[in-house]
Amino acid sequence: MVKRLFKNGYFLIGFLFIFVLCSISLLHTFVWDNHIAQTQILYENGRAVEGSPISPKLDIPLGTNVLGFHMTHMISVGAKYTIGFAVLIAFIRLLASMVFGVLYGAYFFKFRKYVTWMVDVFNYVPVTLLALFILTPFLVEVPTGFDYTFWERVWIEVIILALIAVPPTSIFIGNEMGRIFSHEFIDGAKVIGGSRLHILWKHVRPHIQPQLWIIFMQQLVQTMLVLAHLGFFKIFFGGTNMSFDPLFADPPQSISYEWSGLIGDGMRHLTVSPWVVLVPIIFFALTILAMNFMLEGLKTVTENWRVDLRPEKSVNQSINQVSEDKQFIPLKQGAVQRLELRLEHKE
Amino acid sequence: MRFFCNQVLRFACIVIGIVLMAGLPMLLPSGGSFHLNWMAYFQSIEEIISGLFHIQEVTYNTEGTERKLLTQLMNIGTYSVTIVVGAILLAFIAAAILTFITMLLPPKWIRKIKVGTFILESIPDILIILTCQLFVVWLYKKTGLLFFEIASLPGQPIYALPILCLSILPMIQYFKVMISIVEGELEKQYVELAKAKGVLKQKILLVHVLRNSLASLLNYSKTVIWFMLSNLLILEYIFNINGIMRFLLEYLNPVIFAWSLLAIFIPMFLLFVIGQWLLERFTNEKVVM
Repeated sequence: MVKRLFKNGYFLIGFLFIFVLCSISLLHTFVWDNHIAQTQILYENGRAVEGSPISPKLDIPLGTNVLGFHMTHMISVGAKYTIGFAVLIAFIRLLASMVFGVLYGAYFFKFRKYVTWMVDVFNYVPVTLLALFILTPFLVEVPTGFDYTFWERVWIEVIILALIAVPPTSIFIGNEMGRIFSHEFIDGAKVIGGSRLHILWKHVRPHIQPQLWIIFMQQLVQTMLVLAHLGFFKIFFGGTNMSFDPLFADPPQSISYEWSGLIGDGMRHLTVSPWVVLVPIIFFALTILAMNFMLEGLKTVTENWRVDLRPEKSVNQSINQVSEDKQFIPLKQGAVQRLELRLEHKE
Repeated sequence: MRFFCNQVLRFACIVIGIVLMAGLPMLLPSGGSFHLNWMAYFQSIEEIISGLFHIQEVTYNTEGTERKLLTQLMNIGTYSVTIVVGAILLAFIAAAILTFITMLLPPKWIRKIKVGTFILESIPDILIILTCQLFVVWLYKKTGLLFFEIASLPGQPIYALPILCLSILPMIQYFKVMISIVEGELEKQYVELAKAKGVLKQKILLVHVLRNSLASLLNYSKTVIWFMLSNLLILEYIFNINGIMRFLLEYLNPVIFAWSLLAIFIPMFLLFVIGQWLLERFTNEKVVM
């Protein structure tokens, strides 16, 4: 499966983009020690021609922000935090939804109509709004200071951002599972005497596994979007430092060079120097595009390849041994089979 | 009858969901501790429920003056819902026209257009809305013509640009889905029969395929609406529109949160129910919601 994935053009492009971005970001920290160049005034023939924020030029490819720090360097330092936390959040979402989804699919499936309707609320509430509603008390500094330390805030934010997407995702997983549970081969397994756990692991899991990867990528894309939105509303990762000085109130500051913070920092300068905002947003867009490419690759690979039954090890190995590659047999061109049909291994 | 009973039950379930959700901030730990405040949660749920039943008495506080929530919700609610409904209609019609044109093109082009829509679809809403605004400003600077008002002032609601901005991404999504639905529909046998009888491709698309794909499109609209509400939040913030999402952001209070969500949800829900009812009555398609 992994081999097939990397042969898929879409997946490869997406993966390479994110991989290169993360490696540069890590190199920036460990080799160049988070150095961020600063150009406050641009001279030409001894005369000052432009003060920060400096617009994009050949030697300053993405311009600088208000304090003269180069956007390129800040983006590169921030990439690993944003992508890393997004992956972490999506992963927690997947794990939690799997647990709840299995519980729901295996035990509460009788009430699926009502549970689905109740969780339908999430279809009418934007995730960003819900996140803002819940996170604001934790992450915006009040005059008396924060109630929690920096790392506590980061973990609270990660957990809340993860949990607010769990109900719809677990319902989705649960419904998928319930559908698989209603197949005939499950009845067969029951008759033979398989326990619930055995059926879950041996008969349901193979059907649901490719779906889980797709859900993971979808959640990753969604998390990136929410992070971008939160930055836009000046809720930065790990908390927003407000300045309550009545005379010289500083703008809200982001704590690291994490991308959503960069968006929020630049919002005030949108009309005068749009690149300060647009650069981080464009990087968000590119990363999301790359993730969508990976998702598309994943979908085509799981949809157009049929998993054949892994041959049982017999004494006469030369007959039954099928090499790892040949376990995937391409379907005829254009044929898209439903998931449940994909795993016919009766013959 | 059964249909309406089901819809009422569904409505009740969603209202319960909204109430449970609106109380959430009270449940979470505060003040440096890490315990869930179940007591405060139940109290706030009680408060929300009593607020739901006595809408006339709910007030909110703007700079010292108490105002009635109901009148405010009526005003800004209709405005926001107008924008959303306008945008979704625009998106739907534009996408339908585009699909119609696309389906008449040779298959080679259709494949390219599909890749294009896939890329366009991935663009985050912030980028689209910001570039729209910047583009109008840039156009104004270059030509001196202000085609649309780019920000709303108190008492002067703007419609054109927000509706246009809001409809871009849903249009792309609708377009993508329409193409895949129509392609699936074109493989069916009735299309072959129609072709064999010599019906024009335009007529097949406009009359038969359109009618048969409406049910799936209505179903898909739910996803689009959810997506649009998230866009609306950003849009109202950027265009300084005095709409329901901005109001929500300013007053993050459980009762107001619950009521504002209901104010968006009820019209959308009614639209869906009517659409579903009409479809089930006049075509034989089943809509699964």
